[in-house]
Amino acid sequence: MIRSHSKLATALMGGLAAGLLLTACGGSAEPSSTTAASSAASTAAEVATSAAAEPITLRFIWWGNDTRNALTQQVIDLYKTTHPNITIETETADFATYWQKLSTQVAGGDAPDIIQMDEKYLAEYASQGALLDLESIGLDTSDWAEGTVDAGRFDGTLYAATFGVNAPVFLANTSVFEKAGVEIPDDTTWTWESFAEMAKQIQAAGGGEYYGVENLIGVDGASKIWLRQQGAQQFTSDGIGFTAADIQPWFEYWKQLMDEGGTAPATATIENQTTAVDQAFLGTNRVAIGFQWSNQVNAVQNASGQDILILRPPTQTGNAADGHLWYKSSMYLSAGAKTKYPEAVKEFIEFLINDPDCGAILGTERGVPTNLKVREAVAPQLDAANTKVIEFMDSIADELGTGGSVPLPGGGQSETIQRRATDAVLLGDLDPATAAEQFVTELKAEMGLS
Amino acid sequence: MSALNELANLRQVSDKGKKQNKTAFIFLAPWLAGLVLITAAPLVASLVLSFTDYPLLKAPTFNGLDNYIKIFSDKRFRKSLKVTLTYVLVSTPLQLALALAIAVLLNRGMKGLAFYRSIFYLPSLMGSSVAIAMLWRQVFGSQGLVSTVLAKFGLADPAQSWIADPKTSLVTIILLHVWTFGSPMVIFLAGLRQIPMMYYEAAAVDGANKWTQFWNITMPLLTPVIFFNLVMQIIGAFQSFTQAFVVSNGTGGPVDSTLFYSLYVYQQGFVQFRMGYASALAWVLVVIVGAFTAVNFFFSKYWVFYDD
Repeated sequence: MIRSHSKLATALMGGLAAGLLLTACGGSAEPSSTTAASSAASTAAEVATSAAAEPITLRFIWWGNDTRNALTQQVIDLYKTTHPNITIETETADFATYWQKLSTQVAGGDAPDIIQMDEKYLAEYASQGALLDLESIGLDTSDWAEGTVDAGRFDGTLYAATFGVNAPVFLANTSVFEKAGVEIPDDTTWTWESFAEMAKQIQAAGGGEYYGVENLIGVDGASKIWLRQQGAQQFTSDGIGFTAADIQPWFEYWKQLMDEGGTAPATATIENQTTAVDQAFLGTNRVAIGFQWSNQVNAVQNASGQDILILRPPTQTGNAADGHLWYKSSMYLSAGAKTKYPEAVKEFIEFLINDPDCGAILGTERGVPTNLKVREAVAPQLDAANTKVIEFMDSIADELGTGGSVPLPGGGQSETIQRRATDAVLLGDLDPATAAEQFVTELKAEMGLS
Repeated sequence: MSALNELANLRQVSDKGKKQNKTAFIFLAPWLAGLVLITAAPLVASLVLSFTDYPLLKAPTFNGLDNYIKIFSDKRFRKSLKVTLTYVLVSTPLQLALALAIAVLLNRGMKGLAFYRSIFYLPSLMGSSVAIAMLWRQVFGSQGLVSTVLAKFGLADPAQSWIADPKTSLVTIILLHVWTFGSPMVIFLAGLRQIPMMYYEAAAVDGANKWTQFWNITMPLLTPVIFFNLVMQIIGAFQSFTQAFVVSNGTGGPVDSTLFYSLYVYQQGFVQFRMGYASALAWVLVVIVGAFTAVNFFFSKYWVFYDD
């Protein structure tokens, strides 16, 4: 009796255990590829200190991906050959964890010397006195493209050097268009209306295998295009440049397009918003068109393995001149306010931005080079994907809109706040009007505006 | 408390001989240094900071009770409390029940016990890890394992993402937590081994079946262990962070449906740069967890049976 019991128990255990193991193996989980700081390289560099000049160690922190980390290490090694006394210690993280890492270091009085900065957080750090005035250390900006110097100012002071320039783009996955048997539309004449029709047509052809387009309701870069085309701005120098009534049609547009079968359903869209580029819809060939910043073209193309075309976002009027696009500083370089070696920091930033040899290695991965001479020098050496980006950037030069500003402190939270509202719209829990009201109210509260 | 007791003991020892005392302190020094530097000092610091406005990048300024007053009108605080309480009150009993059930099944002296014990303990080793939470995204995501299998039977849309639906996102994290029942299971197993066999033999002679034996012998004698597990698991569940952070990508979304209390504290402190407010939130959590534990201890005298 007891024996048979324990046999049964053994069998039961076996079954349960196998079930657990199967669960563990199911699903194609990929290990999170934490970007490893290249400690090997920096130790090697520490050994080779020059006898001639004072040995200096600078800390350089950036966010990025594997491609960027490898390229950056290459240029650091290049710098080492001409500046043997300078050791660059590197730290990297992905975008989300980067800001927690940086804020903790700065708060702990352990700020890095060279800091990769984003416009979302520039005001935050500049207003707290955490960054160095780059003009006071004499940064050479003489060959920079128009507007790129001023893009790094906060309250008139140059706290950030534009490291690269990009623009908001729509990326078309040619393989999905082919499968759906739909022709890629002319991006100089398409409208939001024709865009929606196209999305529905593609999704219908996909039969569940792929969707029409990415749902951009909660993507703040995309909603910024819409706002500008309405004559509003996302941020101005004294707050926000739009009202709930300005953003409400954007919420309505995407909710309707989803309901009519032009984008993935609500929960799939919400999940996709927090998925890394290489695993998201666009990178896995599951939508025909998605939104990106132009310097991400390479990443998307590598992930999808397909030919990716760069398109202008649609307009209201069908005239590309009404696109109100803008060149954005894809990222900046800032200096920690308490750096011990401002002169060395200045020289290294100038090397990264103004040196053609450095530019040839970096390509357009961080955006199109800020320095026009570098841009000119590297253009012939670039591969097809990089050339495509530069050509697109040149082609929209006459269609740019004006205005806008880096957000005031707290504005960096805008997309998070927007998604709390738009997720609820997609799920049908909030109507677009209430959601728009909530978004604007919470954003103003976060930025300390009344 | 235990630290104070230990210090008191040390003082008694010192009456017997100062030399012994000194040796003891030398051996204790690493632990004491850890307690003071890593636990006590930050604890005091956060209490002080909770009365300040501390935008992280700038020095803190004293603002009295402002933070604590603000908590009462904070909608997201109430939301995070609701999420966390739901999580604690649902997942802890489920997890303990599963742990006890498996422990009882394992406690039968079957072949390969060590193997099965390890297999069932495995999820607990990995459960709070980032890798498993990533896996959870795949299993319960759009086109994930669960949706695909359910779709085969026509029960769900394969595009349905259970982690991105506020109605089910918390459930998936509760499942993840229940799945990591290993450590209470091991403690239950140890407790079961302590129950003398003669009780069961006597009951069997009297004609009690397995079920009666379980309810009338195992359960009462196991209550101290159940109580211990309950207290520890409730405290642990209140502090859950990693799972929600990874599954929701740090947002607590969708629509704050997985905004765990500690995730909210973290967001306020490190994402929104309000370290003073975050400290105040953390101390409110200390009070809440303390209250739960006190209530637990109060009611324990009605159901925990010590077989002295």
